[in-house]
Amino acid sequence: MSANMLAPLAFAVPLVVAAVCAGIGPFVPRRVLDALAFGGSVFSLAACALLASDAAQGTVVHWFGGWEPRHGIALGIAFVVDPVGAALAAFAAFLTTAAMAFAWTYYDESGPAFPVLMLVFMAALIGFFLTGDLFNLFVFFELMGVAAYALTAYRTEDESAVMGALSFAVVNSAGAFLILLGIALLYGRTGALNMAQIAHALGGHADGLVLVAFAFIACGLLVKAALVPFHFWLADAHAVAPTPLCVLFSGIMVQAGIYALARVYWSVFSGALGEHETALRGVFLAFGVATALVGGIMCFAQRHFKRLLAFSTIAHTGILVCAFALFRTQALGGMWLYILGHGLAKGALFMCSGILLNRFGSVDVEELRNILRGRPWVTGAIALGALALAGMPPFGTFVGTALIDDGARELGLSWLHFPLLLAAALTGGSVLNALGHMAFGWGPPPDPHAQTPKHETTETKKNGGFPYAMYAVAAVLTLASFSAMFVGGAPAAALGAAARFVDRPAQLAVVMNGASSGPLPHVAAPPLTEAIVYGFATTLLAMAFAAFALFGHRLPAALAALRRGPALIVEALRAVHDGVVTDYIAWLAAGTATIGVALAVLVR
Amino acid sequence: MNDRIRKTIMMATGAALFALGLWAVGGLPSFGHYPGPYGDVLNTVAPHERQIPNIVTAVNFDYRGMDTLGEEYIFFAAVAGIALVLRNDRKRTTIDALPSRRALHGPDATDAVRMFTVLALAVTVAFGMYLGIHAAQTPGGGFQGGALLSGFAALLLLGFGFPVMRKILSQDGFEAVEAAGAGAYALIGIATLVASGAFLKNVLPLGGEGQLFSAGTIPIINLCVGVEVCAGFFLLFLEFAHETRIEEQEPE
Amino acid sequence: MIGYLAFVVPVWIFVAGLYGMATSRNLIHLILCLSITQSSTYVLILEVGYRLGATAPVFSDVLPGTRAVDPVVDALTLTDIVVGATVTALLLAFALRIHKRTGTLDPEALREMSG
Repeated sequence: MSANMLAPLAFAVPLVVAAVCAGIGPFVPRRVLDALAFGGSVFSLAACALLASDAAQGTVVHWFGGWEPRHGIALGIAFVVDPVGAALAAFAAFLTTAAMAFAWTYYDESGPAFPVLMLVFMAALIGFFLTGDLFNLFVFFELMGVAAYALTAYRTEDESAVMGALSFAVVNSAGAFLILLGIALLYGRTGALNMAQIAHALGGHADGLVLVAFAFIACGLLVKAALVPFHFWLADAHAVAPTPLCVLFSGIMVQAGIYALARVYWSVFSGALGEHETALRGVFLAFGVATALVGGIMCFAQRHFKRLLAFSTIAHTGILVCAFALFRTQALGGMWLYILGHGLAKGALFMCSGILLNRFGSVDVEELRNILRGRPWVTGAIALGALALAGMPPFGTFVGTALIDDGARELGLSWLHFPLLLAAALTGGSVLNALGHMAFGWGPPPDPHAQTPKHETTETKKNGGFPYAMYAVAAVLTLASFSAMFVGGAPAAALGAAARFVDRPAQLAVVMNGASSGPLPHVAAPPLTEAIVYGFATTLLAMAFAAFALFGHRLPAALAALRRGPALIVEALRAVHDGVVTDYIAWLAAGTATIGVALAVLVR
Repeated sequence: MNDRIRKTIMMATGAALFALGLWAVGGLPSFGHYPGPYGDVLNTVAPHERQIPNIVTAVNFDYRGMDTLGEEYIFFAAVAGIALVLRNDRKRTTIDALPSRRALHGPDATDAVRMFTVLALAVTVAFGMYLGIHAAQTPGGGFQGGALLSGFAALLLLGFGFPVMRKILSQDGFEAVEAAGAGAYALIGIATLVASGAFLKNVLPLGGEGQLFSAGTIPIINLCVGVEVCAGFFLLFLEFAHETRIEEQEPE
Repeated sequence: MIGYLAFVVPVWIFVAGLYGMATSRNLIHLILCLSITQSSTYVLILEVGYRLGATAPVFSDVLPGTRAVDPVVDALTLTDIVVGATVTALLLAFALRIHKRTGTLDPEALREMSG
């Protein structure tokens, strides 16, 4: 089968399986549905993996309906599959497969809704990564969204789950409308929806229309990516969504927003906005650094383990946005590796939280004090996950950070290491802090006046048979994240893929004229020796943060006063994260206006 | 954030967004002068290439059929999600065992209402099918026709009440029909991919313009969409109507 | 000038819808404001494909080749409307469930829920 046919199959087969599951759902046992859904996701995984290896030999273009472009005008929709998109689609299918394997022993009873919506969600992600048409991108954005909203509300007996889903849906829909307004503006100017054709028609000139269209599309995609101040929905949704779904949310959906931003920038806008890169860099770096720090600090202040992981995802979003904002191929290559390394580690950590919920009926760190004593496997997995979040060598996150730092250094922005390092250390430290409570009973005694934790409705059968499948899947993800750097040539491949990703003229020839892109360019990976120092320094800092949180109360009074400063910041941030959906909309509007006006002022 | 702060923020950001929007639309070609090329090319080539007078339908089901496939699955996922959320704490088996037979409007509807409901039912079915089938010739289509046909469920509820509606419209059956409509669309794509090497390629004979089943795969996909949409809306009406009834019987 | 005013309409609808959402005190009202916000996209998309004095792109009663408006924007709007309708229905189901469980639809009162 040719690569050209794999792209639509990877997308369409899970949709057919989803329809079959929904149709026969009421009449067959649950295991049949699970097996069908698992088969669908394995198929997509295989198809996307083959597609990625083919795309490395040359960008794959599939014109739906056989509508090849005529005289430089696209008549239909194309999947334009470059190695990055295919690899991320394969990663999405891999995480879905892992989540389904994890869910095998996880649910008590469930109708067809879970497998059906998971398959639709995966297909939407795959389409989102592969499409080369701007409106089609919006359709998949919405498809991904609708499946995700419904799945978030899966535990409907818990009203906070439904409320979390509602906030998620409202904020993301508003983001989708921003994207659509941007697309309409571009269509009005160029009369085209194909990305390569729009880029060609826009030429090298940016006026108000192009700038605002970019600002709107970028803000809409960054809502999905949970950039501060668009991030509020993420923690609410993660705290209540079924754990297998959180693996996908944090592992790939949020990153899909950043991927799409990079895709849209380099496929559509880089010609028109290229000369204003400095202005764009300033705006996106400011928001990226703010996101990394807010996410890191809020992460440290959580005691609900899933919410903690959700805020850590926000911190890592900030790091990824900074990587985008550098507009360098090294940083972009680092971003791809970072997405994979982070997705694996975060997926493993969420699965550990699922195991906690399954075995002990809670994810509240205080409530679980001492509970992991004598359970070395879960303790070990959480510890490894924490180190991966901190970016310790040889985890995938470390390689990614090293390349991002390299890009920053080349631009003379070496200072950027430090906020990113701080954010990574905060997220790793907060997981270690939680682990100190749960595995060793360390940490200050719980404050009797503190708010009582919200009662957790269990999402699983409690203390059923030993969940081997859950442990196995969590272990696979942890090990995959750990072994990332030992995959020979991963950095070089990522850099080569990034070099093709940013080559807009070549893309136009491939999409519009059917030219061949040829195999990936060879790019030498920079040496990582200096980065290893930074990696271990970050890890030590993470341990120091955790130690301070765990044992700070034993310090002499004078030093303990150190705790007061951070506590004030945390209180202020907590007050902002108030759980009121209308506030989230106000923040969304304010963020969009700020980014739009900042771009307008800096570029004009 | 209290009301006053929120309003102040929204006044300021609303003004900024409005200004940005005005700046952006100032760069559009003047109103009423669509410059092309996408739509003009399609208006020129589609009538003879696809033997179809309604170009919007050709765009929806052929040139940009992928968008519509995605759209159908958005609908499919939303119906599954709504069923999941609303059906949660009422198992299907207990529906008919509900103590009261009093439905939303059933027993209260007068004979006159019922008679007009029956008349309206006939018109709805006829017009819905007419609109749904003639996608290629007139400004109709599967989605519009299916949505209109599903008014059948609303009329049943209005004239005869929930128990009758529930008896006539089988939930499991419509779930299967809805899934079949959605799945068939994706399957047609796969079949054409195998047959021609391009997903959703219009491989069937095109026939002559103006015939009911001209334009190759377009009427078949149109039918799938119509069936899915109609069954999906039936399910939505059932779910929401059911919810009102529970509310009535078990006040909290 | 009148032409430019036509483009101001969707911008205004969008901002008004967002304002309504952010200042809403009732989830149903908020969901309807979301629909209003979305309708700005319908208006803008249809406007950019409009052509003065042209027919609809349905060549049954007029000959092919007659000056017609852009069929693509019609198709895009149709897709957009379906998306809007389904998301609205899903959101209303959420709101119904929340009201049934908590007896309120006030976002402020529901802040503990998102806790």
